[in-house]
Amino acid sequence: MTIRMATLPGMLPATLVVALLAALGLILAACSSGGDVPEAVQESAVAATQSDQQQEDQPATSYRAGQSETAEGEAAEQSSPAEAEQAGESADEAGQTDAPEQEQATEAEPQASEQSEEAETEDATSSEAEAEPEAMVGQIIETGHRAGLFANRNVVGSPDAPIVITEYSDFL
Amino acid sequence: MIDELVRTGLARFEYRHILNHGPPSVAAALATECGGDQGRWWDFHDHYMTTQDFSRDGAVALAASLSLDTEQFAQCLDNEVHLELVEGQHRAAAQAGFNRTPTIRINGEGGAVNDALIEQVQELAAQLESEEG
Repeated sequence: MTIRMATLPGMLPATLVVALLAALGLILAACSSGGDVPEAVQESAVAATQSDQQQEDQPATSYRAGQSETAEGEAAEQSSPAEAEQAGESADEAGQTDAPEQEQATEAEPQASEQSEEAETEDATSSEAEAEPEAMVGQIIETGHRAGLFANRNVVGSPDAPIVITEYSDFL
Repeated sequence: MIDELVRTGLARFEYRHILNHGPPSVAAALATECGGDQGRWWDFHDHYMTTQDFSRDGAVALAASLSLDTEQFAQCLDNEVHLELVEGQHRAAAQAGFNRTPTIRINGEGGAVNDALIEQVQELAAQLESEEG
């Protein structure tokens, strides 16, 4: 009886130990079967998921960086047409700058031709000066007027008048 | 009649020199052209037609009375600046056979002033007026 008395109190803790072991076994079985997960395990799992997400975000960031790189590439592409346009403009400017030179060159030719024409004109003027009296008299005979004079000095009436009355006269 | 045609715009009147009377004709023609240099051609024309004073002093006095630059006018006269012009007009008239003065040409046709020429001008003016009307 004493043993029982002594066993009984001892047996209770042994039963509790067995119960505790059974509970632990259940917990381990639940953990292995994916059942309820302790909060600590959930927290660690959440932390691991967040780290995984962060790791997954890194490629996204790198994609964004790629996008940014792509954007930079697009910008580069955009800039390259712009540069091309600028280059074109500069080429145009160069063309424009070339064009005046060409114009100057083309203008230079007329200037040269003008100078030659002036020289010819001077020669012609000198020859015309010799022929001027005869030409002037011929003009006067033909038109009654002399170049360089007010043509209508001896004329009255509208220049568009349909009737032209010409008087050949002497004051005496 | 000519005044009326000119005023109405139907006709234009032109004067050409004929130098049938030698130096007086040339002097008057030159003085008229020198007056024309200062815008008073018709004043000299009317003067010579009415006064028949063809002297140099008379021409300079007329220039002074018209408030012209008498020095410029005298230089023009003395240098015979317009001798080629007046002689050219005379030569043209001579080549065309216009020996009598005045000779009137209507649109390049006609001759000495006579009744037939006046009638021709009147008919032409009437025709133009009817066409405009």
